Amino acid sequence: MIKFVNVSKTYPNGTVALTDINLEIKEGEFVAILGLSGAGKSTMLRTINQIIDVSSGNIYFNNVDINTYEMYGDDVEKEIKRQKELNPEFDETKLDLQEIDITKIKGKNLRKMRSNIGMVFQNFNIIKRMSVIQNVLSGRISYNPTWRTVLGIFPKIDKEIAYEALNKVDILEKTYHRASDLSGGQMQRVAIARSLAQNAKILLADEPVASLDPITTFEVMKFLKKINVGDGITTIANLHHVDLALEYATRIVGVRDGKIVYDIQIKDKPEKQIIRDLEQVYGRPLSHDDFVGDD
Amino acid sequence: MNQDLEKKLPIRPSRTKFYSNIGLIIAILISSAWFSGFNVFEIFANIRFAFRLLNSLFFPPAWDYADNVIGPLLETVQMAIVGSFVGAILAFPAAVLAANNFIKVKGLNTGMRLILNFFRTIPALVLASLFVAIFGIGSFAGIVALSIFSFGLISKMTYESIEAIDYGQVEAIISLGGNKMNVLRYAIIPQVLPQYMSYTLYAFEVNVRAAAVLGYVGAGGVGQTYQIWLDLRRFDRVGIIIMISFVAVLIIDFISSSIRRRLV
Repeated sequence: MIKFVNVSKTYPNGTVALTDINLEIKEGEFVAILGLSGAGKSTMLRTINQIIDVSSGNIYFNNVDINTYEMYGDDVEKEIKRQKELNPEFDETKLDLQEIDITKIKGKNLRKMRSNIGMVFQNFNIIKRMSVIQNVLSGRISYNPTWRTVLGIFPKIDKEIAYEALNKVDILEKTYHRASDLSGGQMQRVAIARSLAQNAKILLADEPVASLDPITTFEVMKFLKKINVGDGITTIANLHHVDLALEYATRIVGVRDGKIVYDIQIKDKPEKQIIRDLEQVYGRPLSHDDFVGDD
Repeated sequence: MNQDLEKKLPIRPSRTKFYSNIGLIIAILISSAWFSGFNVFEIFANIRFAFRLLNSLFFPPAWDYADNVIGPLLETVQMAIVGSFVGAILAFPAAVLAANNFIKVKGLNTGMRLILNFFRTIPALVLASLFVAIFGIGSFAGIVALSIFSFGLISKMTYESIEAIDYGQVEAIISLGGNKMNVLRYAIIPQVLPQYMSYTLYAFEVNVRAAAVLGYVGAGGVGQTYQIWLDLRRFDRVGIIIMISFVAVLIIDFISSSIRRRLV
């Protein structure tokens, strides 16, 4: 679904964040990216939706419809079926699926590509002075003309999509609350609902639980896993805690000094072995701080 | 002191810079006073004139004239309201263009800031005299002057607020596939709106005080009455105007600042 080819990033101030990244991520995977702070995890995530541009290299997405920039992913048949359910008049003969390099497109097309890719953040980045429903509706901005989004008038169908998204993360009862009145865990669930409303095929999660207490951490991780498995949303999460990666992800990618130094499917290796391997990624023995729970 | 502790203790940073800064500030103060001809003795030598003036201003107050103050004072407040409102409306787009985290075109930011600084350099009184020359005597010239004055004030403070916003929310809207207008609407306006309204109210407070003077150059409001009675040396009437204006400004400041406290 996503393919990094020789991606490097050097910031204007000279900091080298990524060096020659090659990585392929399949549809439906839950990839945990582990590594020390400053290893380049955040930069790597942000190059996928081009919030940060690359210095060199390419990032390809397969089966993108060149007319709408909608992603059809690895399982094209499944996505066509889903589109037909959403829209009975959907005409698959008009599809023109191609491989798109997101680093090479700009403007409107780039924005259309981004609308396939949801993102949740450590600080939630929801609009605190707006209501929960307005926040989730903002996930629909790329599907509506600018005048509508600026006036904040969304069609009924978008509202239904928003309610459904809120229901999926169990927070429908907060629909009309002001976002700033929510707790951290609730805010992150609103952010996830926003990505769901966006109809994201890929979800980027940048330290999604780093500002949360242990109990809400597991709660939010469960919702991420739920939409990964239930809706087939490919999830890529930067995580701090090794046990979270082992419990919720399907694959661990280790980043050190801007390079990928470790890449493994979790089911292929015993956990103890992976934990031992990760000492190479961190360059130090793992401690209690690298785990949420001590058990 | 313990020998080990003394060895570990880092060398105390030099305090020269601190003392030299204080010296510099004192030097600037004294030289400014000297150059501008400020003289403490002159104040004391002339203090009896000040008391005589105060006496003719306020003792006794010209209560019988009070009714005539209300009309021009209301006009002053109206000028301030319209001026702040028009200034605020013009200030927002200017602030957006000047903010370097929204429009990342350095030339445009710098150009806009130059224009804003230009308007802020001209005192409201000078603006008012210019517009009296253009539009003639009356409150319209005053309103235009106050609009431009508020524009300069509000746009400067607003663009600084825009630059200080939490950029994460901007990232979130971009990641949703949003365009510039979406970023403005969803990430920037909700974050700066309370500050922007607060600056507008602050501009209004400043305008009420400024507007009282503008009449002096013929730009309407209570200032025009000041001018008449000062010229005729009717200090008792000037005194009552000052008193009533003072009460009005106090009330307006109180209301406005209590709203502002609730905003931010």
